[in-house]
Amino acid sequence: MSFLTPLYLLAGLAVLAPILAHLVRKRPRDVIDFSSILFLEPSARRLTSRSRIEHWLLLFLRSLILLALAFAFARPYLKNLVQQTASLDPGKDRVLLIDASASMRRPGVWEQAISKSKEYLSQSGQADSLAVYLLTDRLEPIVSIEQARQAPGQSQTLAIQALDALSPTWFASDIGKGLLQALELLEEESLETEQGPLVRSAQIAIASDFQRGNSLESLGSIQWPSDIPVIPLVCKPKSPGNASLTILSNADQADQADRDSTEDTVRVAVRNSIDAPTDRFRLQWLDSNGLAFDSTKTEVYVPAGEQQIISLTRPLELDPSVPLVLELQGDEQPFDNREYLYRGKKSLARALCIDSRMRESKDSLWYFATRVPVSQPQLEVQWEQKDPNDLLLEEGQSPPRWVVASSDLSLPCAERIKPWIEQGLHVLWVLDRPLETRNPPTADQQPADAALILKSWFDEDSLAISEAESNRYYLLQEIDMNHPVFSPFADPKYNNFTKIRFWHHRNIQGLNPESWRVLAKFDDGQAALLQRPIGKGMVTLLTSGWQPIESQLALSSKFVPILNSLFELGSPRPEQDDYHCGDAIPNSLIQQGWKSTNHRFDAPGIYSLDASRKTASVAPIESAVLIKEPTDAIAVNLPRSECLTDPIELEEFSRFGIPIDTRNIAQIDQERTSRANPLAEQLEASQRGWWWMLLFVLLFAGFESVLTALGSRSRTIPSTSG
Amino acid sequence: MALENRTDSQTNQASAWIDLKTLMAVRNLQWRAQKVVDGFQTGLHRSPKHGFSVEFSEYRPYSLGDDPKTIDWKLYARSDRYYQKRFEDETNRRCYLVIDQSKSMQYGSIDYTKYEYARTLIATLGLFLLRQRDAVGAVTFDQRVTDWLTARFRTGQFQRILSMLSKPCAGQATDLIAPLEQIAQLVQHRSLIVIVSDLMVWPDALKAPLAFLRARRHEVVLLRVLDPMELRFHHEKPVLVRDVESGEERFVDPVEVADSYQRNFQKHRSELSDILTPLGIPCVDFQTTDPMELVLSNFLSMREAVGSL
Repeated sequence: MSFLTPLYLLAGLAVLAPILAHLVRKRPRDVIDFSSILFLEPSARRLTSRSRIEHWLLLFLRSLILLALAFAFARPYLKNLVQQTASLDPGKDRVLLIDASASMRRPGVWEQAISKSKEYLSQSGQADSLAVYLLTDRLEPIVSIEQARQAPGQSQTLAIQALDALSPTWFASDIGKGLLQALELLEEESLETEQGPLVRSAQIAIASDFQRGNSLESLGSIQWPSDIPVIPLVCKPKSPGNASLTILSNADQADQADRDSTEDTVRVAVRNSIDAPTDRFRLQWLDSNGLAFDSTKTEVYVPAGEQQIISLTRPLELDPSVPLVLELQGDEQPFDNREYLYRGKKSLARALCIDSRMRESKDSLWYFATRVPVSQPQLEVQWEQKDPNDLLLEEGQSPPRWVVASSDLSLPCAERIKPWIEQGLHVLWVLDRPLETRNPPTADQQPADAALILKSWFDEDSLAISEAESNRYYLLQEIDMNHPVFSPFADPKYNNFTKIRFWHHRNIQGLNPESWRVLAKFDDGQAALLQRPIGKGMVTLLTSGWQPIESQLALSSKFVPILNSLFELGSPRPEQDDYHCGDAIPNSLIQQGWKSTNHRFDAPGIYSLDASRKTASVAPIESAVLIKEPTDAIAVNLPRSECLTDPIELEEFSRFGIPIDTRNIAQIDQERTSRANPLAEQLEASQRGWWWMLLFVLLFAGFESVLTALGSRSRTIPSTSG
Repeated sequence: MALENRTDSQTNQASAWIDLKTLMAVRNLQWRAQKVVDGFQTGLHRSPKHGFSVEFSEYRPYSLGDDPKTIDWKLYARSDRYYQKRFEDETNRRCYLVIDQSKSMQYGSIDYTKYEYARTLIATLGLFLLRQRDAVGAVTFDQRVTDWLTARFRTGQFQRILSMLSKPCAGQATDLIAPLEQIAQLVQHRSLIVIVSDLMVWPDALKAPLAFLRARRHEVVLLRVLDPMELRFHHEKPVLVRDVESGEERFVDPVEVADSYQRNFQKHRSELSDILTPLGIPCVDFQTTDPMELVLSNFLSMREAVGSL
């Protein structure tokens, strides 16, 4: 029998306390009155042999309780068991996360992280398995837990060697997510070894600058296991303070006029950290190669811990499509001092409204259609109103982005746009006129029957169009709120369509429900808005007009959103304007030929599809036949969270119940060597001798209480004073 | 005369007597005394004590020289012999009931104190004697005589005794010497003096005043009232005991002092007996749990023993 903490055995001397308590008689607390003390002889205050015999069992029990407690605190364990199981020492799973985010590029930080990591790794035990992961916004294994487990003896050398090859990235870091992933990995691995006799303990160390940009909120989603401590290896930069630069996006400015006026103006946010030694900085425009355009510099004064917004004017002589770099000077931490700007060229697109010019303006389709603003930040849309006959003359022109056709659409015209539709054009065909009131045919053309047009587009003979009865107004029903056209109205606040009345509409018979998607119906059950794809394009059919003679649709507040949605079906907005390091390359760009080795932007800079201008590892694949204009260049900047370099208080981890071991490595090491035998400690923990001792203490205490209660009950007598 | 103890036959009678606890629970002292005396007198006719009444009249054969007017002629007519008849004034007694009001009498380990018991006893005796047409007086004392009622046989005497007993007692220590001397001086005629006390004094001090009373031809009877606790001292655990009279505290281990207490108590009792026997003073110990009838019965025995009464 050996003891892990034998000094606690001295606590066994406390057994003297109950013995003394039994020997020393207390001055009686109660005083009784008596008629006369004539016959009472005073007693000496000492223990009589009789009372000692009365309480010997209690004394024994109380002494036993104290001895058992002292014994439990001394942590006994059986040595022979230790020797037997010495070869089964399971070691410890140590997972080292090295923060490789952009903020680790600050002078001195990365070197410190590597040296601290090496120090940590070198202090591990022989049986410990050492896994090393690179922590950015995800975990990348350098030496995975599985690898470390397979060769526990070599994992230390393996890990230390691997450290030298590492370098910081330009990505953001997310310590919360990283910790969760590390925990998941540990748990996955431990499941596999569950059959083993001993469960390995684990530990996670993080070498990081613990900058505030790290989000810890995700840690709130789980209850962190208390037996996995987190050891922070805090790395500090050589010099304090950091100023950062962010170009604010102006894509949110909806107003066309505002956008035009701010075309040459860029709003910049300059943030200074709390511990910054300087507060005066300069801003200068550079070209994409890092050369200054001129010597103009803008002075900025930003007090420590504050942020300043400045409006800068682009170098006027330059084309807006030229990529620019804005540099912040005067800051000692250069990693976040450059911001890349590329607004790109605004592409032009045509939207055609095929309608006859001969009608009264308000009765015509184009009157309302051309008033709908369908332009997007990077796409200027120009409406053109065409007569169905004119269109035939436009050979060789580029296809329009969108076509809105009225009942005047002629068969030749429909055949003319069919190839465009098959290549991806979206057509909205509005049957806005009763069949019998259509324009008389021109000299050289027969009036095209709508059914014939449909037949030419879809090759279906069964389709027939007739005029619905107009003895009452119609309302929309069975609206498909899941469709992008109507999804903005899905909220109960907006989904009231009862104010839009339709005076006339056309019935389409013979619809094949498998090929046509009906988005809305009239209350007589006839389709109101329906769609069918042709090739890559789409034909949308509205069986009534939006003009006031047909319906109240154009006068409704829902008209513009519906038309915009229909336009965006064919010309979706770009997924995002700002790109940051670590972002995945969006699908739209991949379709245009962008690719990367790890499918995301690796470093800040201007990325271009043009092979001669591209930087970093993004390279285009061969140019395919594209319908849309390709995105020719992209500015990728540093993640904004990396600019927040103020350190996190380590107490924030305890807020999420994570046991943080804030002792430095030397202290941990000292404690480790002060313990005679770490193996014995582990064996003691597995034997749980103290646990049994505590159980005995509880049993004895219960027995003692019962005895005391019984004793006091038997001795209770009535009051003796009258 | 030696100290007397109860006999077993007397103890056996206790079941027929009124329950003391119930009796003491009643606040009215007169009611208590009447119930005891009524019950006692009812049983008296069947009792072997029959004939010891104070009203017993004595006949003596006439002898030459006696006053012829004392001859009972009616008896002569029946028996043809001369007998002399004793007269009433010789059988009427003066009796003083003396009660100790010292602080030690205020002690009681049961529901009532020794004083409460003694008070009931005095009232009972008073009523009993008055019904026998004796003149009864009462005296209360602590360190000195606090109240005095001359022995009389008249209407309302019992009420006076009761009102005297109802006064609150403010006595401190027991001092029998001074009060007894006072009583000896105040009682002019030969009387029966019944002293009810716990006699918690050194016996030597009693010798002189009691001898003085006896010298004045008074008959003295001592009724010693004791609490059960005083007879057998016991307590659960060691305790600090405070003397109610002197306030002196003494640490006492009940287990340890049990024997010595008994020894000291018996020694005190024998010393008391040594002093009282030569003086011809009977003394009986009563516990406050003893029935009143028993005390009354003992009292009558003692009076018989005193003889000349």
